[in-house]
Order: sequence, then C-alpha cells, then structure tokens
Amino acid sequence: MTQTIIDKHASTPWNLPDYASARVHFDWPQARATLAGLPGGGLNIAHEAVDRHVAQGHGERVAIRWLGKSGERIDYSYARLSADIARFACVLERLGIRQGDCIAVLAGRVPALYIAALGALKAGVVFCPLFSAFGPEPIQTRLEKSGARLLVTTPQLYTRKVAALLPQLPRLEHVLTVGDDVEGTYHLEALLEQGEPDFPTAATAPDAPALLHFTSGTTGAPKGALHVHEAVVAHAYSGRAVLDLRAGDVYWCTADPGWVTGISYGLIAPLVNGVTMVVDEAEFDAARWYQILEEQRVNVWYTAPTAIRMLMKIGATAIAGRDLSALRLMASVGEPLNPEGVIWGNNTFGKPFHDTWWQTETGAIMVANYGCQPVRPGSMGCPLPGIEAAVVRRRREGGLEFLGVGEEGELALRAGWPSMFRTYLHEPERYAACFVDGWYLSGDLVSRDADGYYWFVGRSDDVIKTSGHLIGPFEVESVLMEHPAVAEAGVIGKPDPFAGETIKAFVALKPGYAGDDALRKTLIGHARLRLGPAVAPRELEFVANLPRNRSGKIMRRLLRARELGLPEGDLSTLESSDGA
Amino acid sequence: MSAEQVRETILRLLGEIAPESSAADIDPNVSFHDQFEIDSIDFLRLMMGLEKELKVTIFDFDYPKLSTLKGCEAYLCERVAAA
Repeated sequence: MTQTIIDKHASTPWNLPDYASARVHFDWPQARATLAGLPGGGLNIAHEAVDRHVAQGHGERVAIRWLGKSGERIDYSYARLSADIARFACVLERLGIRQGDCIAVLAGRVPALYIAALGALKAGVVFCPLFSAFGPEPIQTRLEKSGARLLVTTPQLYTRKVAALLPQLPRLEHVLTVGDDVEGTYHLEALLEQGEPDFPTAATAPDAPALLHFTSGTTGAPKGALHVHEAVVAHAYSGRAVLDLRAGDVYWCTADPGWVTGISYGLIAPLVNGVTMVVDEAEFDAARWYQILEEQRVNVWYTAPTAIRMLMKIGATAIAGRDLSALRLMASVGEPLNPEGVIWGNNTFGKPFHDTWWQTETGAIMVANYGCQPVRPGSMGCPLPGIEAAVVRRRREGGLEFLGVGEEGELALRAGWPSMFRTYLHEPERYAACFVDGWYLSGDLVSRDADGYYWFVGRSDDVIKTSGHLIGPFEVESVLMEHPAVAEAGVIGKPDPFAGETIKAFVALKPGYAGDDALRKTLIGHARLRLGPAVAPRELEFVANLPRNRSGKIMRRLLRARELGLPEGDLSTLESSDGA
Repeated sequence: MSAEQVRETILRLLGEIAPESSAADIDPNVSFHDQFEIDSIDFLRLMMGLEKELKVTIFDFDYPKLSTLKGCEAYLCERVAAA
C-alpha cells in the first residue's frame, strides 16, 4: 500500500466540491429530482438521456460524435438522435416486440448500436449488449439465456458468428443488419426510414426492466444481471459527482459498449448529463487517441488500466506538443489501476487518473477517487455519497462480521441504491446468494484505511480480469473440454504487465493423445474460434492431471499458486494432482 | 535477412498467437484485426515478438503501419535492411 498522495490545486470548482459534506447531505431523492420523469410517475432512461434535452431546447447540441475507422465523422444532435431512436422504437413495435421483451445487439462501436440501445429503452424493451469480439459459444449462451427475440448486428458478424447458431435459437425471431443486405435478415436502415420520428415513449415504471448485462462467476454459465429504468438516477448522479460531467462538455469513454461500462458510462451517464460524447470506432492506437483528445477538445476522459499501461509503454514524449488543455478530469475503471499508472498520468498530463470501482451488478460507480479530494495512487477511493460500504467477513453460522481499519475482508454495499441489479435472469437463487442481512457482497476483497479510502486486495473467487473484461473460468474450460483430445481443463488468470491478467489453461489429455506443440496450437485455435480472442486462453500447458479437492472441484488456486511460485497453502483437502 | 525470412517470421509468430489463422488464407491487404479479430493485447505480443526475433526496433507510433501482412513486411524489411 503506497502512502503517496497526489494533492490537486482546486483551480476548478468541481460538481462535487466537498465530499464530506455530500456524504452527510446527499440522498437519492435529490438525484431523482434532477430528472424529468414521465407523466404519472414513470421513468424512462431514453427520455432522460435524449428526449428531455430536446424538450428543454437543447436539440441542436451534439449528443454523439462518431469517429469512423477510416476518418469519417458523423455528428448526431440530440434532436436527430431523438428522432432516430423513436424510429427504432417504432420498428420494434411493428415487428411485434413488446414491453418487457429483450433484444440484443452484437456490433462494434457503430451508430446503430447506440440507436438500437436507446430505441429499445424508449420502447420499454430490455436491451442486452453482446461484445462483438465474442465467438459463437458466448454469443449462443447469452442469446439463449436472454430469450432475445431480435438481434441487431452487422452483415460480417452475422455471417461469421450468428447464422450457424439460428437453428439452436428458436426464440430469436428477427435479425436486423446494418449496412449491406443479407439474406434472411432485415435491413436496419430501410426499416428505420419507415419508422415514425415522433413515436411515443413507453410508460415505463421506475422498476421496469431495462438492461441485461451478462457477467461471470467461478462456476456455471454466465449470469444475466438485470437492471431497471431507475438505474438512470445513479448514472446521472455518479456521472456528475465522479466524472464531473457538465452540459456541453466533450466526454470520451473508451470502454466498449459490449460490456457494462460502455453502456452505463459510454452512453447513459453522458447523455443524461447533456454532454457531447465521442465514440471512436477504431481499436486502440496511441497516436490516434492523443489526436482525438486534442482535436475533439475532450474535457473528461474515462479509460481503463490496460490502455493506460499501453500508453505508458510509449512514454510521455508522445504527447509533447499536443494541446490537451481542455482535459479537466481523467478517470479509470475495469480493474485496479496500479499506483504507477496514477503517478505516470500526473507526471504526463499534469493530473492524475482517478480510479473508480464498480461491477456489472452495481450498475454504476460505487467507490471512487473524486476531483475534490487528494488521490491516493492504488486506492479505489471512497464510497459514492448515497452508498454505504463496509468491509465484512461472512460468518460460518450465518450473518456478517464487520471489520475495522486495516483488516482484509469482502467489500459489501448496503442494498437499495437505484442502479442495483434486481435479479440474475431465471436464477433467483444465485441472486439471493449475493445478499446477507440486507448487504450486497461484491466478491472483492479489500481493506479500508483510517481515512476511509478502500484498497483492493484480490477476488474471493476464481474469476479472471483480463483487459478489464471479467471472464468466468468455467466458460473457457467447457469449450476446451469440447475438444476430443481433452480430458480435463483448468484455467487461471496469470499476471500480465498490460492486460492485468491473461488467461492460461492447464489441460490433461485423454489416453492416446500426445501433448505436443501442434496440439497446443490446435487447442488455442479451437478456443479462439469458439470463444473469441478476448475470452480464449493465450497460453496453454499440458499436465498429467489437475488438482481436485475431495468434492471433485478443480483447485484453480493451487494451479495459480504453482504458476506464480506462491505458497500452495493447505493441501489437506487435495485429492489428486501432479506431484502431490 | 531476406524478405522471405521476414515473411516467414511474421507468419510463424502470428501462428503462435492466433493458431486459427491459416497462412494460406491471409489477405495481405486486410488488417489482422479484421481477419482474425487480433485484439490489442495479441497485437502487442506480435509486435514485441517481431522486435525480439528480427532484432529490430518498432516504434510504438508506427504500429498502425504494421496492421496488415503487407504493411508488416514492408516496414520490417526496411528496418532489417537498416539494422
């Protein structure tokens, strides 16, 4: 734990000028009161994010500035976006998609994704984003589980990954593709042209389902965390208090909308706060990123540790001569940002990255470093006003033990904030298991210092954080097990200087197969094709068998300890393994 | 080192990182990302691997020039010749 503290000179009056005071005086009804709401007490994310601004006379302001890979630029004003999402909502109705139904989008950062997301929300339809670099296996699992009736995608992704899955997805009735015509799908643009630009907003209640984000645990298939329209209250407030968003700002969130950050903070929070959000279609490219920061006069930049570490590799000289004077606040999310990243940011940009902590389940930022406070490099920061956090230990006999300063335990949040997930779809037992005595248990191990800053220690389970993406080992192991040569597989996260962790697989082969280089490559290739590169192992090692405990579970922690040369701990429950 | 050897090294390293990519099917003018969904971590591994194997320096800001097989070959042949 580093003691370095980065003090900032308050030349800027922050939206949240006094953290201690906000903790005492803020409550969620105040944040709710900043939103318009619908007649009759309803609340709708799309109305708050887009239509409200048009009604208030800001229709000409740019909502989305889209930068294409090949240098194109398209500006969507709030008024244009409002008309487009209404058209999409109308298209959904004409195709028979009803309030409470689910639609999914599988696409890169193209405008249609944002229009479909907001259009679905406007129609009261649940929106489920799918990461475009997923392979067919994660796509199928998520489409099946979501029960999505409609999918928006691109011709290329459809042909490559979706078409072959259709026979196994009987609930998926319609596929809409962006761009070229594809047999068996609707052409999105053609449908939108026929949609009504003033289609009305569905009268959604605050607790109406809105967003379905899949996330992973140690065991079992991915879980569908369901969020409601009321989540927008937390998006609005955290965007203001943590990211310091102000109407008219230029804001850039580099997260992909296939994951929760790219929706909560790459779409909803910025638009609700009336900013111009930059969307860059291209993949990471340091020179391009600095150019965007400069040319777009970005005021607030929300990015991720993997990207920050890649920028660090290039070094500070890369921004020499760039005018980044518009930049007011930089923040990071996805995994803990190492202190070196925070300090490098401060040395290079003259301001530190503000680390933030939250999860798919929390829907919005829960713990953060704030503009108005000194940054403690390596710390997650302090709980958002309105959020009660604690460090706890689950008692064997039930209930929680609350831990004190410096003690390591699980980060718990008092249940009931607006963006808290409301269920895991079709899995109420898994949902219930996340709560004890009215507290949500995050699965992240932390400690709290004497000044109330939280420090990340590790995970209490085996999930892997790679490039900010949360990957469940079970999903990866299952795909490896599909291969006829594989008897058993165990995967772990292996520390990586850029990605945080990369996925490493340990594989035991069936008799008759030789663990040679050709088979190693075959298995990695198989996993990449089925899962997509972000989820597939980048390293694979053959072992005679995998360590299991007496109940037959693979002991991934032991695999990890061996890989890293760490103490192996108590092996008394170990059943079998190499050398044990 | 010949252009042929440079090409062979690129394909071998690509085959390590993305074994599902078949050398025969590579379109030299389309980016590795668009063909094989090479992500930024894969790409970084490829760049660092090439630097090590070919004993050249690839400037980080030049990475975009190496996003295709053709671009890789052109850049690296020049660097190897200059080394």
